[in-house]
Amino acid sequence: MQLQKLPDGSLRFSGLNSWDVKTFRSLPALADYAADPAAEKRLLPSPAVEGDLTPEMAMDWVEYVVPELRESFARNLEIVLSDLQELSPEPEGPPPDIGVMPDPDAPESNILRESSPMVPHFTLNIPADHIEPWFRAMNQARLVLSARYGMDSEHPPDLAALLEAGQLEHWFQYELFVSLQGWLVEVVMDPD
Amino acid sequence: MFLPPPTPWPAADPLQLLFRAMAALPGTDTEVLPEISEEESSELDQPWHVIVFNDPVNLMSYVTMVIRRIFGYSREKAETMMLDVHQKGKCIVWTGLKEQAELYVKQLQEHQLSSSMKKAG
Repeated sequence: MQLQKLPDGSLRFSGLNSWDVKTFRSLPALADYAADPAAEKRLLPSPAVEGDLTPEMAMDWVEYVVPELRESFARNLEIVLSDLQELSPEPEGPPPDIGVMPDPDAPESNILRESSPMVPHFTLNIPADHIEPWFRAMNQARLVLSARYGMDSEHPPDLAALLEAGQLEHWFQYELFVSLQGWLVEVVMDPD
Repeated sequence: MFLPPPTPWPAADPLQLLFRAMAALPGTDTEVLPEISEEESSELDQPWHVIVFNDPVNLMSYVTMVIRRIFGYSREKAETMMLDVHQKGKCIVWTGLKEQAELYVKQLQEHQLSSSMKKAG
Protein backbone atom coordinates (compact mmCIF):
# COMPACT_ATOMS: atom_id res chain seq x y z
CA MET A 1 0.00 0.00 0.00
CA GLN A 2 1.25 3.46 -0.78
CA LEU A 3 -0.08 6.63 0.78
CA GLN A 4 0.20 9.95 -0.91
CA LYS A 5 -0.93 13.43 0.01
CA LEU A 6 -1.80 15.35 -3.15
CA PRO A 7 -1.36 19.10 -3.72
CA ASP A 8 -5.11 19.74 -3.40
CA GLY A 9 -5.10 18.20 0.09
CA SER A 10 -6.72 14.94 -0.97
CA LEU A 11 -5.20 11.53 -0.35
CA ARG A 12 -4.41 8.68 -2.66
CA PHE A 13 -4.11 5.14 -1.34
CA SER A 14 -2.67 2.97 -4.05
CA GLY A 15 -1.57 -0.64 -4.19
CA LEU A 16 -4.47 -1.72 -2.02
CA ASN A 17 -4.80 -5.46 -2.09
CA SER A 18 -7.97 -7.41 -1.59
CA TRP A 19 -7.40 -7.77 2.15
CA ASP A 20 -6.96 -3.99 2.50
CA VAL A 21 -10.19 -3.42 0.60
CA LYS A 22 -12.01 -6.03 2.64
CA THR A 23 -10.75 -4.40 5.84
CA PHE A 24 -11.92 -0.96 4.79
CA ARG A 25 -15.30 -2.36 3.73
CA SER A 26 -15.54 -4.02 7.14
CA LEU A 27 -15.26 -0.69 8.94
CA PRO A 28 -19.00 -0.33 9.66
CA ALA A 29 -19.11 -3.83 11.15
CA LEU A 30 -15.89 -3.38 13.08
CA ALA A 31 -17.08 -0.01 14.39
CA ASP A 32 -20.54 -1.22 15.35
CA TYR A 33 -20.97 -0.47 19.05
CA ALA A 34 -24.74 -0.85 19.28
CA ALA A 35 -24.76 -4.52 20.28
CA ASP A 36 -21.88 -4.21 22.69
CA PRO A 37 -22.58 -2.48 26.02
CA ALA A 38 -18.88 -2.01 26.83
CA ALA A 39 -18.21 -0.44 23.43
CA GLU A 40 -21.27 1.77 23.68
CA LYS A 41 -20.26 2.93 27.13
CA ARG A 42 -16.82 3.83 25.82
CA LEU A 43 -18.13 5.81 22.83
CA LEU A 44 -21.03 7.40 24.68
CA PRO A 45 -19.76 7.89 28.24
CA SER A 46 -21.54 9.83 30.94
CA PRO A 47 -21.07 13.60 30.66
CA ALA A 48 -20.24 14.04 34.35
CA VAL A 49 -18.45 12.05 37.01
CA GLU A 50 -20.51 10.02 39.45
CA GLY A 51 -21.86 12.21 42.18
CA ASP A 52 -22.01 15.30 39.97
CA LEU A 53 -24.43 13.92 37.39
CA THR A 54 -27.95 15.05 38.27
CA PRO A 55 -31.00 13.25 36.83
CA GLU A 56 -31.81 16.41 34.88
CA MET A 57 -28.32 16.53 33.35
CA ALA A 58 -28.51 12.86 32.44
CA MET A 59 -31.92 13.27 30.85
CA ASP A 60 -30.89 16.33 28.84
CA TRP A 61 -27.70 14.62 27.69
CA VAL A 62 -29.54 11.51 26.49
CA GLU A 63 -32.22 13.57 24.77
CA TYR A 64 -30.13 16.24 23.09
CA VAL A 65 -26.46 15.23 22.91
CA VAL A 66 -26.37 11.46 22.47
CA PRO A 67 -28.41 11.51 19.22
CA GLU A 68 -25.98 14.06 17.79
CA LEU A 69 -22.99 11.95 18.76
CA ARG A 70 -24.58 8.84 17.23
CA GLU A 71 -25.32 10.76 14.06
CA SER A 72 -21.75 12.04 13.87
CA PHE A 73 -20.34 8.54 14.27
CA ALA A 74 -22.73 7.13 11.66
CA ARG A 75 -21.92 9.91 9.19
CA ASN A 76 -18.22 9.10 9.32
CA LEU A 77 -18.92 5.51 8.33
CA GLU A 78 -21.29 6.58 5.55
CA ILE A 79 -18.55 8.75 4.08
CA VAL A 80 -16.08 5.88 4.17
CA LEU A 81 -18.49 3.54 2.39
CA SER A 82 -19.30 6.21 -0.16
CA ASP A 83 -15.60 6.73 -0.96
CA LEU A 84 -15.05 2.97 -1.24
CA GLN A 85 -17.57 2.87 -4.07
CA GLU A 86 -15.05 4.86 -6.08
CA LEU A 87 -12.26 2.28 -5.76
CA SER A 88 -10.53 1.85 -9.07
CA PRO A 89 -8.56 -1.20 -10.13
CA GLU A 90 -4.95 -0.66 -11.05
CA PRO A 91 -3.54 -1.84 -14.37
CA GLU A 92 -2.22 -5.39 -14.26
CA GLY A 93 1.44 -5.69 -13.60
CA PRO A 94 3.82 -6.26 -10.74
CA PRO A 95 2.10 -5.02 -7.59
CA PRO A 96 3.84 -2.01 -6.01
CA ASP A 97 4.00 -3.41 -2.47
CA ILE A 98 6.52 -6.18 -2.90
CA GLY A 99 8.15 -6.21 0.51
CA VAL A 100 10.16 -9.42 0.18
CA MET A 101 12.00 -10.53 -2.94
CA PRO A 102 11.18 -14.15 -3.64
CA ASP A 103 14.00 -16.65 -3.70
CA PRO A 104 14.35 -17.61 -7.35
CA ASP A 105 15.56 -21.06 -6.34
CA ALA A 106 12.64 -21.73 -4.02
CA PRO A 107 9.84 -24.06 -5.07
CA GLU A 108 6.77 -22.39 -6.54
CA SER A 109 4.77 -22.86 -3.31
CA ASN A 110 7.22 -20.77 -1.30
CA ILE A 111 6.82 -17.67 -3.40
CA LEU A 112 4.67 -15.07 -1.66
CA ARG A 113 1.27 -14.80 -3.26
CA GLU A 114 1.52 -11.05 -3.02
CA SER A 115 4.37 -11.08 -5.51
CA SER A 116 2.18 -12.61 -8.19
CA PRO A 117 1.38 -10.14 -10.95
CA MET A 118 -2.15 -11.60 -11.02
CA VAL A 119 -3.07 -10.23 -7.58
CA PRO A 120 -5.43 -7.34 -8.18
CA HIS A 121 -4.68 -3.98 -6.63
CA PHE A 122 -6.77 -0.90 -6.26
CA THR A 123 -6.47 2.84 -5.87
CA LEU A 124 -8.62 4.89 -3.55
CA ASN A 125 -8.85 8.67 -3.59
CA ILE A 126 -10.07 10.43 -0.49
CA PRO A 127 -11.18 14.07 -0.80
CA ALA A 128 -9.61 16.47 1.67
CA ASP A 129 -12.83 17.02 3.61
CA HIS A 130 -13.29 13.24 4.02
CA ILE A 131 -9.95 12.67 5.72
CA GLU A 132 -11.16 13.33 9.23
CA PRO A 133 -14.26 11.10 8.85
CA TRP A 134 -11.94 8.32 7.70
CA PHE A 135 -9.73 8.88 10.71
CA ARG A 136 -12.65 8.82 13.12
CA ALA A 137 -14.18 5.74 11.48
CA MET A 138 -10.91 3.83 11.95
CA ASN A 139 -10.62 5.20 15.48
CA GLN A 140 -14.13 4.07 16.29
CA ALA A 141 -13.33 0.59 14.97
CA ARG A 142 -10.28 0.39 17.21
CA LEU A 143 -12.26 1.59 20.23
CA VAL A 144 -14.88 -1.09 19.62
CA LEU A 145 -12.23 -3.79 19.07
CA SER A 146 -10.56 -2.67 22.28
CA ALA A 147 -13.80 -2.78 24.25
CA ARG A 148 -14.84 -6.08 22.73
CA TYR A 149 -11.55 -8.02 22.62
CA GLY A 150 -9.23 -6.08 24.90
CA MET A 151 -6.97 -4.97 22.06
CA ASP A 152 -4.97 -1.84 22.68
CA SER A 153 -1.81 -0.05 21.66
CA GLU A 154 -0.11 -0.14 25.06
CA HIS A 155 0.21 -3.87 25.61
CA PRO A 156 1.75 -6.44 23.29
CA PRO A 157 -0.80 -8.98 22.11
CA ASP A 158 -0.79 -12.70 22.76
CA LEU A 159 -0.92 -13.72 19.12
CA ALA A 160 -1.35 -17.40 19.91
CA ALA A 161 -4.37 -16.63 22.07
CA LEU A 162 -5.79 -14.34 19.41
CA LEU A 163 -5.34 -17.05 16.80
CA GLU A 164 -7.05 -19.60 19.00
CA ALA A 165 -9.93 -17.23 19.67
CA GLY A 166 -10.34 -16.46 15.99
CA GLN A 167 -9.40 -12.82 16.53
CA LEU A 168 -6.02 -12.68 14.85
CA GLU A 169 -7.36 -10.98 11.74
CA HIS A 170 -8.99 -8.31 13.92
CA TRP A 171 -5.59 -7.64 15.43
CA PHE A 172 -4.07 -7.11 11.98
CA GLN A 173 -6.96 -4.81 11.11
CA TYR A 174 -6.41 -2.91 14.36
CA GLU A 175 -2.71 -2.51 13.53
CA LEU A 176 -3.45 -1.37 10.00
CA PHE A 177 -5.69 1.38 11.38
CA VAL A 178 -3.03 2.41 13.92
CA SER A 179 -0.48 2.85 11.14
CA LEU A 180 -2.82 4.77 8.89
CA GLN A 181 -4.10 6.99 11.67
CA GLY A 182 -0.59 7.78 12.88
CA TRP A 183 0.37 8.86 9.40
CA LEU A 184 -2.81 10.87 8.94
CA VAL A 185 -2.32 12.90 12.12
CA GLU A 186 1.33 13.65 11.61
CA VAL A 187 1.37 14.24 7.88
CA VAL A 188 -2.10 15.43 7.07
CA MET A 189 -4.29 16.52 9.97
CA ASP A 190 -1.79 18.22 12.30
CA PRO A 191 1.43 18.58 10.38
CA ASP A 192 2.84 21.65 12.20
CA MET B 1 -10.84 30.31 32.26
CA PHE B 2 -12.48 30.50 35.70
CA LEU B 3 -14.53 33.67 36.46
CA PRO B 4 -15.60 34.60 40.03
CA PRO B 5 -19.39 34.38 40.59
CA PRO B 6 -21.32 37.70 40.37
CA THR B 7 -23.10 38.96 43.45
CA PRO B 8 -26.72 37.74 43.32
CA TRP B 9 -29.40 40.48 43.25
CA PRO B 10 -31.81 40.70 46.21
CA ALA B 11 -35.49 40.12 45.36
CA ALA B 12 -36.41 43.74 46.02
CA ASP B 13 -33.67 45.21 43.82
CA PRO B 14 -34.70 48.65 42.54
CA LEU B 15 -33.59 47.82 38.98
CA GLN B 16 -35.83 44.75 38.88
CA LEU B 17 -38.75 46.89 40.05
CA LEU B 18 -37.94 49.39 37.29
CA PHE B 19 -37.85 46.63 34.65
CA ARG B 20 -41.23 45.35 35.81
CA ALA B 21 -42.69 48.83 35.61
CA MET B 22 -41.33 49.28 32.10
CA ALA B 23 -42.80 45.95 31.04
CA ALA B 24 -46.21 47.13 32.19
CA LEU B 25 -46.04 50.17 29.90
CA PRO B 26 -47.82 49.76 26.56
CA GLY B 27 -45.55 49.41 23.53
CA THR B 28 -42.46 48.40 25.42
CA ASP B 29 -40.41 45.39 24.37
CA THR B 30 -38.61 45.00 27.64
CA GLU B 31 -38.44 41.39 28.70
CA VAL B 32 -38.52 40.79 32.42
CA LEU B 33 -36.48 37.80 33.33
CA PRO B 34 -37.82 35.51 36.03
CA GLU B 35 -36.28 35.93 39.41
CA ILE B 36 -33.48 33.61 40.21
CA SER B 37 -33.06 32.52 43.78
CA GLU B 38 -29.70 32.89 45.42
CA GLU B 39 -29.34 29.12 45.44
CA GLU B 40 -30.04 28.82 41.73
CA SER B 41 -27.71 31.70 40.99
CA SER B 42 -24.79 30.18 42.82
CA GLU B 43 -25.54 26.78 41.23
CA LEU B 44 -25.27 28.36 37.78
CA ASP B 45 -22.03 30.11 38.73
CA GLN B 46 -20.44 26.99 40.17
CA PRO B 47 -17.30 26.31 38.15
CA TRP B 48 -16.84 22.92 36.51
CA HIS B 49 -13.72 21.07 35.42
CA VAL B 50 -13.52 19.41 32.02
CA ILE B 51 -11.46 16.24 32.34
CA VAL B 52 -9.86 14.06 29.67
CA PHE B 53 -9.20 10.47 30.73
CA ASN B 54 -6.52 8.16 29.45
CA ASP B 55 -7.42 5.31 27.19
CA PRO B 56 -5.10 2.77 25.56
CA VAL B 57 -6.46 3.35 22.07
CA ASN B 58 -6.33 7.03 21.16
CA LEU B 59 -3.02 8.10 19.69
CA MET B 60 -1.09 10.65 21.73
CA SER B 61 -0.63 12.82 18.64
CA TYR B 62 -4.40 12.80 18.10
CA VAL B 63 -5.17 13.70 21.71
CA THR B 64 -2.78 16.65 21.45
CA MET B 65 -4.38 17.77 18.20
CA VAL B 66 -7.90 17.59 19.61
CA ILE B 67 -7.00 19.53 22.77
CA ARG B 68 -5.39 22.23 20.65
CA ARG B 69 -8.29 22.37 18.27
CA ILE B 70 -11.06 22.59 20.87
CA PHE B 71 -9.41 24.84 23.44
CA GLY B 72 -7.02 26.84 21.25
CA TYR B 73 -4.00 26.03 23.40
CA SER B 74 -0.44 26.16 22.16
CA ARG B 75 1.09 22.89 21.01
CA GLU B 76 3.36 22.93 24.05
CA LYS B 77 0.49 23.31 26.51
CA ALA B 78 -1.61 20.69 24.73
CA GLU B 79 1.29 18.23 24.75
CA THR B 80 1.82 18.79 28.47
CA MET B 81 -1.84 18.05 29.09
CA MET B 82 -1.70 14.99 26.84
CA LEU B 83 1.27 13.66 28.79
CA ASP B 84 -0.62 14.20 32.04
CA VAL B 85 -3.52 12.23 30.58
CA HIS B 86 -1.17 9.48 29.51
CA GLN B 87 0.96 9.28 32.65
CA LYS B 88 -1.47 10.23 35.40
CA GLY B 89 -4.62 8.80 33.91
CA LYS B 90 -6.45 12.08 33.52
CA CYS B 91 -6.02 15.82 33.18
CA ILE B 92 -8.20 18.85 33.83
CA VAL B 93 -8.08 20.64 30.51
CA TRP B 94 -10.45 23.51 31.28
CA THR B 95 -12.43 25.07 34.12
CA GLY B 96 -15.38 27.38 33.84
CA LEU B 97 -19.13 27.66 33.70
CA LYS B 98 -21.33 24.59 33.39
CA GLU B 99 -22.89 25.32 30.04
CA GLN B 100 -19.54 25.82 28.35
CA ALA B 101 -18.15 22.73 30.07
CA GLU B 102 -21.02 20.67 28.66
CA LEU B 103 -20.24 21.94 25.17
CA TYR B 104 -16.55 21.06 25.52
CA VAL B 105 -17.34 17.57 26.81
CA LYS B 106 -19.64 17.03 23.85
CA GLN B 107 -16.92 18.16 21.43
CA LEU B 108 -14.32 15.94 23.08
CA GLN B 109 -16.63 12.94 22.95
CA GLU B 110 -17.42 13.69 19.32
CA HIS B 111 -13.66 13.36 18.73
CA GLN B 112 -13.89 10.05 20.65
CA LEU B 113 -11.83 11.14 23.60
CA SER B 114 -12.89 9.80 26.98
CA SER B 115 -14.02 12.89 28.86
CA SER B 116 -16.49 14.19 31.40
CA MET B 117 -17.06 17.13 33.70
CA LYS B 118 -16.82 17.52 37.46
CA LYS B 119 -17.68 20.26 39.90
CA ALA B 120 -14.62 22.25 40.76
CA GLY B 121 -13.59 22.84 44.35
